[in-house]
Amino acid sequence: MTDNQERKQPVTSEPDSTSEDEALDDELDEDQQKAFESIMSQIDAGENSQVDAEPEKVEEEPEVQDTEDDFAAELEKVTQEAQAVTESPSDTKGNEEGLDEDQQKAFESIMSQVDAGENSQVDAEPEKVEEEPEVPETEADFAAELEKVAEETENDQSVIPAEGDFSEETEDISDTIDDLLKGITSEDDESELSKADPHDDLVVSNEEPQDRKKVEDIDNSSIVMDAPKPEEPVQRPSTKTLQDLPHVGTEHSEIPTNTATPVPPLQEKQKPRKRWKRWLVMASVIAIISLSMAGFGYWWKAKSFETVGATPFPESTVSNEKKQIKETKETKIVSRVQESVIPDYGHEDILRLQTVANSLNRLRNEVLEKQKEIEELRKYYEDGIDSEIRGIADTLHELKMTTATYKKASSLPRVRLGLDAIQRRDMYIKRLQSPINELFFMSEELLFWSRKAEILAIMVGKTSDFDIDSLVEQTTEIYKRLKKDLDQINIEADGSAAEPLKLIWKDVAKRLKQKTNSTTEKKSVNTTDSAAIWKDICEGNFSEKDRLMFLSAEAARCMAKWEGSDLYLNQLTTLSPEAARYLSEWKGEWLGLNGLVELTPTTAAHLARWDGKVLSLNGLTHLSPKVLDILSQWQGEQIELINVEHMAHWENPKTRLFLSEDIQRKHFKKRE
Amino acid sequence: MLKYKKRFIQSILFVVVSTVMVTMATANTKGELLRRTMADISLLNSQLSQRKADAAEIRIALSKRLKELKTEARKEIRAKKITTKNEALKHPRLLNDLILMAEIQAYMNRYKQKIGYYRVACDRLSYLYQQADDDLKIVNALSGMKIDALVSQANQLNKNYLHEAQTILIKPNLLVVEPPEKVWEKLDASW
Repeated sequence: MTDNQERKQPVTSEPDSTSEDEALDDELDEDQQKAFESIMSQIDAGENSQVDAEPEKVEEEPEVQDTEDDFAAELEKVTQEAQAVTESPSDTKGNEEGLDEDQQKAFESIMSQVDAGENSQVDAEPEKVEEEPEVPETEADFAAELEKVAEETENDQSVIPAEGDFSEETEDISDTIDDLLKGITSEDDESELSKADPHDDLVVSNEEPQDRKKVEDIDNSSIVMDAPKPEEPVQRPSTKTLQDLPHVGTEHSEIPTNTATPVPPLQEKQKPRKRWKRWLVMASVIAIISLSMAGFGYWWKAKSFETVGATPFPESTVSNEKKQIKETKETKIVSRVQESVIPDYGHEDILRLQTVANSLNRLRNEVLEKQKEIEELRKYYEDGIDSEIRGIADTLHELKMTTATYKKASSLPRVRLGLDAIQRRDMYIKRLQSPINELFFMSEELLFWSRKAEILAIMVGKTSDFDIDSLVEQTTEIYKRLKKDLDQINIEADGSAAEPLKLIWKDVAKRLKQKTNSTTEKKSVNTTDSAAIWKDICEGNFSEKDRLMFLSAEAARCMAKWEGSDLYLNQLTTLSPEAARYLSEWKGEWLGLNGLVELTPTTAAHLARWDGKVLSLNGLTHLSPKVLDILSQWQGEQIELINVEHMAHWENPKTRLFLSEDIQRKHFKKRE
Repeated sequence: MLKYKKRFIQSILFVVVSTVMVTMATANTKGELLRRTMADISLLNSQLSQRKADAAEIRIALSKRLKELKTEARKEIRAKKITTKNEALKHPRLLNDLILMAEIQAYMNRYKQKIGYYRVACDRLSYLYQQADDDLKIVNALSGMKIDALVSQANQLNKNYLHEAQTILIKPNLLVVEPPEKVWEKLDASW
């Protein structure tokens, strides 16, 4: 019997677990055998190189004295290597990286061993390690070897925390993920790959080729070797415990350690990590699936709540009745949503009403324009009548026939023509009244319908049931009718007869008398006040000139000698033609006669000959066409007629005309 | 052995998760129905609130127009020195103003009614919403809560108010418009 056989003997004859494990070995024979082979190969390797590592045995067996020194050296070397592993995780990492090619096989080997270990897990008792302090130190390496098998039988999770290296290994996430994936993918092939596992492990850790042979030899007896596993020390191997060997011990105290001892820690590091990772992967996959399902559930709920009616309930959870209710509600809501999508349901009606109102307003503006035009025309005729009456009065005054009868007056051709003009204009004025009234009613009607359309436009945007079509139709008819009426309005339509000349003369004589009286009274008052000023002016004192209320021809002649540039005689309310003739001889730039309320053609003709720059006649409100025609012949730079209410046609582009804003706007519009 | 354990645990986890999901879906059926009902009520309520605001806005605009017409009518009365009803009714501008004032007043009265109608509708819908919210809390916590009546009531309300939700309904033919004489009397009395 060889030393191996002698040392195997106590192991195989271990009474505690053999009977139980053998029964289990029937199921996992191959795995156990491989595990055992790996252990035994290491043991044999150690025996071949060092017969005995224990100092005690050296004393008892002097024949192995030569190998004692070698063993001590080997032990020291192993200790140093183990220490190096613990002190430099990177080295370990490097080892792992170096083992990448064989990692798969190693993992499979470990898994097979683990499976084998599960069957004999019951016997793994860590207390035994402490109960056997007498175990010699030389047995520590072997104990570590056996411990690996014991570890495999233990619960994986209890091993992991004890491994100092694992915590460091977790830092290498990429390696871990690779290992995990490899572990998962190779799970199905475990049984096949596990056959080669022990061998691969040994190849990784082997230092001597002889050991490999012995491992192969031991393969056959691996079934026997599994038996003592439960009694092996269960102390969790760490690099530190490898150094502190004395407290580790087994029955195999005579088995020396060898140089291959650094290998088991590598196996131990990989094996629990992969198992832990596999569990982690499984848990992660389950968690991901659960979260995905839950997330999908919430997403589905949220989506169905947002897009109401878009997503139906799952058939398994909703009854037909509820489905029907839901579908009805969905249809309702969808239709409501569709309805609410329509943004401006009354916008078209508003536009139509606004169009109607605008059309009516435009037509009304045309009516008002026409109305104003006719009003101006009437005013023109009225001014013409006044002008004719003044002309008649001047003629009769010159002829000293102020008390003449109609017969005498009408015998004068100028008076007769004047009376005819008054008759004609009076007739026109009367005829114009009818279209003015008609236009007024038209404009009011248009305004009414336009306002009605605007009021409806306020409401129709957000209110329904208004009969807009009817209103539009009605207003269209009104528009057409009024437009037609507007186009047909003319002065010929009215057949009012002309007033007899006799009646006109009576009216003229009455007004002539009133005018003569008022002029005489005014002149007497003004003459009294202004007489002193006239005297001063003629004496060369012009300081009171602006207080003049009446200007005689003689005073005007004196005034014309004044050498100032601006002459303001705004207190004058009347200006005789003789006075105007003398004033026109004044050599100045600005003549202000803003007090004049009326201007006869003769006076206007004298003023039109003045050689100045600016003429202010802002007191005039009406200008007869004749006066206007005379004034337009003035060659000055600017004429001011701010208060004139009606302006016919100004034909002098050289002279700038100052009018009120309304008249000016209208005047320029006509010119355009 | 370990494989079996793993598969067993996986199966259990799958069953547990599936059961939880199915239970949640079943429990949420009533809750979902209530939420939909609340959404309907809320939508309708907001629409009716908007209509109420629209009606108030229109009423304000009409009131402004009425005031302008009154001012204009009074100016005309002063300018034309109109003192009697007959004179007023003969004056086209004044007559038209009186007619328009009567119409505007009729519309304003109708919009006032509508505002009250929408206010009541909003109050009722708010009450139903609150009830649905209360029921939802119970449905989330306990089973057996009956919500059929509430849902039915909400549907009925929705049906009743839906036609008023999109636009304000006013029948111009049913408006009671005062004659211009009466408006003149009021205008004359208000001086």
